[in-house]
Amino acid sequence: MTKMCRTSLCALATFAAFALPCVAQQNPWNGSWKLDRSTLKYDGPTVSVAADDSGFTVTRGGKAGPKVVCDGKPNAPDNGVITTCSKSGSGYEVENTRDGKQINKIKIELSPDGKKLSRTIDITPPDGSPYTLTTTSKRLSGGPGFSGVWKETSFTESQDNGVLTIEVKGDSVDFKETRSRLPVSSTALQRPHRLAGQ
Amino acid sequence: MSVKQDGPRTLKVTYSIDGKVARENTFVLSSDGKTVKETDITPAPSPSTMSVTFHKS
Repeated sequence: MTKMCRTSLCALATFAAFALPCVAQQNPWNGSWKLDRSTLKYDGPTVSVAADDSGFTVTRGGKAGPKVVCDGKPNAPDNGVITTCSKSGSGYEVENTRDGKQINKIKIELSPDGKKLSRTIDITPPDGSPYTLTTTSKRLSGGPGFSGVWKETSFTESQDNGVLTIEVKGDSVDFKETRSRLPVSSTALQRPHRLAGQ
Repeated sequence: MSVKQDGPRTLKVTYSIDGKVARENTFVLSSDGKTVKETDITPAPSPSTMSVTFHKS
């Protein structure tokens, strides 16, 4: 009996010695990943702006948006969104609302030399905390003023903490990007291959 | 949002709005497991691309 017990204990210890490293081994994807801003390469979108004394029109991908009239009064609704634009200093202040609630507030400014355009967008998501998106664009052509072709060269988001988290768990993955305009998600993995670590 | 394995060290994340792809992110894990390179592609009408490297923390 004692011998049998010793044998069992020995077997258990041997099993544990082999099993523990397996338990400790983690999926190499899992964990926090810190963004290295020095490696960032960004090729932003290009837009065309046609501005006059009454307001401006933005064209993206050859498709012109509705003209934004900047007289301080609410514009006609477009897809349920009411835009109110006012001239402010060297630019514009635009507020978009839906069902009486603010969606975002945008401040657009031109640099004194007319070569840079900055947009600061305060966004109020219906199901999240407000945050601020700031973009800078450089002039490719046109002018003076806002009219011309602009290329976005940088963007920052106030809630971007620079940390990506990934956790692969069987057939699903929890995923949170550094920019929290995209929430934590868990979704079924489509698996044509085995992931590293599985 | 959908996540697809596009190879043993690649995750492809697709964000769609009303059935149209709004953004496609590809994450590639380095062979030593110390870095992940992200490539972020936003298609027309406002196409843009972004790439950046993450280090394990």
